[in-house]
Amino acid sequence: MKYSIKSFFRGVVALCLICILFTPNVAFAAVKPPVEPQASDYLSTYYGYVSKSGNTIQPVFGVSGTGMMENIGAYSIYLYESRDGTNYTLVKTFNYESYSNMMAHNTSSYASYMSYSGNANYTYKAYICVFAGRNGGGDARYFWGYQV
Amino acid sequence: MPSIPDRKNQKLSRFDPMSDEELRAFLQLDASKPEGEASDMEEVLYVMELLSVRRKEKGESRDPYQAFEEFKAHYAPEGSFPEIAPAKPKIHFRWNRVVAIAATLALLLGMIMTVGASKFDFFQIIAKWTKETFYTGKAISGNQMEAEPDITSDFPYAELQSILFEQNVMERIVPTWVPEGFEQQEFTSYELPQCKDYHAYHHRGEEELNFEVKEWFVEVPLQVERSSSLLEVYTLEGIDYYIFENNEELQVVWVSNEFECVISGDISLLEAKQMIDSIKKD
Repeated sequence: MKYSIKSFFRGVVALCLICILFTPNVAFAAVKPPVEPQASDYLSTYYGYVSKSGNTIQPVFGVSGTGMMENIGAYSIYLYESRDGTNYTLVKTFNYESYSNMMAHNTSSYASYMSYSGNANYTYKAYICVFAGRNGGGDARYFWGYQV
Repeated sequence: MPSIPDRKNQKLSRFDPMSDEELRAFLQLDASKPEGEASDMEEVLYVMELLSVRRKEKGESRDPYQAFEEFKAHYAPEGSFPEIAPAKPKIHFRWNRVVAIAATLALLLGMIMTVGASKFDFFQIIAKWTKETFYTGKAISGNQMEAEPDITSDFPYAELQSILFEQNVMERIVPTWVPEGFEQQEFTSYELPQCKDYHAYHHRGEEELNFEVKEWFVEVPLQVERSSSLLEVYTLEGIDYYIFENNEELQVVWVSNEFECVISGDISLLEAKQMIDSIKKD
């Protein structure tokens, strides 16, 4: 009896430790995989998502700096589409050098969106890079924005 | 004089040429001796060993239970042998392992459900909520609108408050106090697909103070930069205000229905709480 109780708790502890190692991944997967928390002297908050209205696909982003920034906005946006919701294909790349509404100057925040003619029956997501910088320095963050 | 071993071997070797049936008969006869009459254990053991060796040579394997039954049948008169049958092999069902696995799975499931149900992640500050009112504001333009700061008003964030009032938003989410010396330099609002984003910027010399309000019509996680774990949760009138550090600056994040608000900048913890307190005061 003593031996079985000991082995029981030993088994529970061992399996719990294994599960704890993997639980964060599982838990976040149930929500959405976010970027890792980091500190920044330039970035305060940011967000991104993909809005769909009929065949019009709109990747949206917003960035707030810690203060007045010389450059603030989105460096790039990679738009992906999927027919089955599982397998995604890159369909459009937006760069700030080609799209003037992706980056703002001498302001503390910026938000905007792009437009793409897609398919109302498909699912979209965007890999977004946001940036804020001043005085020769800056920070960038990459993250996924999902269709809402 | 023959040595004792020789005499013993000679005595026992008489069993070697006997057949298996003769050897079993000898054992049966020995077992049937009346009580009190001693058995020659040396002979009995020798015969038993001889039978065992012969069985091995023949390649005959014996189930212990079968062997015991055969022993009772051949060597023990009925009723004279206590019923002590060898235990049949038990299927040892490891209940402890089953319970351990079930407990772990239940714990894991509970943790997953808790994260999913809470819709708020402490460590990532990804606040989620459900929009229960519909959008009745201006047409979506996505253009940045810069409003001139109202320098005649002593009321900080007056522009934001007036915009919210115009939209019939009675929610008290705007601070009515900022630390002395901070002056508003910029106010911007962004009308986006399924979101409205407002941002006010104050400065006091080199020090900066930001106040953001996002009005969400869908669930979108807001990423908040931070350099430490949660400093404090300041609760006021049922709303939790989460206070972090982002390097040298302070970040305060809270959710009120469809509004997600952030105060960030070069302010102390006390000043942050004072700003929070001013939200609910007239």
